[in-house]
Amino acid sequence: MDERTDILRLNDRQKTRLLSLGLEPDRPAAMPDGHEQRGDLLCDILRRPLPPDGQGEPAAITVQSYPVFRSVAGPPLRELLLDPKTDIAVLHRIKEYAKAMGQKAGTEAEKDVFLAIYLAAIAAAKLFHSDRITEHADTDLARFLEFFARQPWMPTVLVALFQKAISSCLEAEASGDA
Amino acid sequence: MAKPYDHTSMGGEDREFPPTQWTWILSGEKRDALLAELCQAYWKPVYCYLRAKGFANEQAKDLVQGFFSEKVLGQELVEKADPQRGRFRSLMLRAVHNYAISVHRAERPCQSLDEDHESPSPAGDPEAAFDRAWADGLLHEVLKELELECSARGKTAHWCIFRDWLLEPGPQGQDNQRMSDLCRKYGVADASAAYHMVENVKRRFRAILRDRLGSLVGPDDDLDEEIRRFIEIFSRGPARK
Repeated sequence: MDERTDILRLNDRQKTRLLSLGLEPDRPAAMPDGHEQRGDLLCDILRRPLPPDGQGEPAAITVQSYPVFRSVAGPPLRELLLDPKTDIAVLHRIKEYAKAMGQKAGTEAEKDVFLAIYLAAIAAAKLFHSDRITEHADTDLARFLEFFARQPWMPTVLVALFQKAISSCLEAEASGDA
Repeated sequence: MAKPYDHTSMGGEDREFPPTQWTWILSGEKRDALLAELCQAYWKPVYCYLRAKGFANEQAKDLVQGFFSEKVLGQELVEKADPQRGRFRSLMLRAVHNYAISVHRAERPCQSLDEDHESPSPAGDPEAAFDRAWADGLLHEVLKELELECSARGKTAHWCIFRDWLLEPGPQGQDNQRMSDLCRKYGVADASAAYHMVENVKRRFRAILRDRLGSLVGPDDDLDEEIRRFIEIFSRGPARK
């Protein structure tokens, strides 16, 4: 068996059943509430690569197609935000992208989600590069991060990133660098 | 910047100038990564296609190697590709079909093209075998992503119940008992909550599947039709070998 073998070792009947799910409508009982909606949207965006400069439009966010080739489109935002080797310029671009998208967002859920990505880029810059890419003071930044780290829709990987950045902010504050 | 749909008579029919971005990628540092990605994604579908065409295991492996060396790594195929246009999968399929014919011709030079086209497939439906392997890869990626997402959102129990409930169903008529067992196994309060968890994960599976497939089959293709085709292929069972 090679590495492409199904992680669940599915048989044809199971594959058919899974594919059939793709044709089913969402059941009303499964419709997401506010938290679920934010979590879904955040995960959908984090799966995608950083759009090329100046090409992100709010309407495109929910319908933007998944990139055919990762080597062409680049790694997903999730990886960029969590990889210590991500260039600071890229984190800056993510921050600006999230800021622009948040300002154009049509719903509160979208605004919240882009704000979370905006803060994640700032947190990553602080943690991985000891660089400040925001004018917010460390005390304010720690407060924002704490608020978002508590949100039930926040993926654990971002919660961990936020918490480390909070510690970094508090240390800077204590040492008088804030 | 070249328009994505600019046509040219250079090089014969069915060739388009690739869009500027594509050309840049091919000449840039990402080229090797792209080609490696193509090999990883299409090695198995191409192999399965050739096996269904009747080539023996070792011969099929050699041919896959040749196909990727000559057609894919040699850039001939990638240069024809326009990511804005339709399915890359179809382009791959046509390319391997033509490659198999050219190999066959080289081995049996007196055989006509018509014979090649009309000779019955000795080991099943090659196109279905190709699509089947491709859909396998797609499902694998979708499930991997879904499991990762469930884990990142603190929904490991959701994932486990979804997996057990959907993929390992118990005897008919014993659904309630089975769900109660799963509740005990994963510490879920009651069956109603567990059913809700399954629906929740189903919704995410559907979203990820359609998201991925949507870009891979091309903007104008009908997603539902594509999914039905895969269902039909898997319903038929594996190709004969």
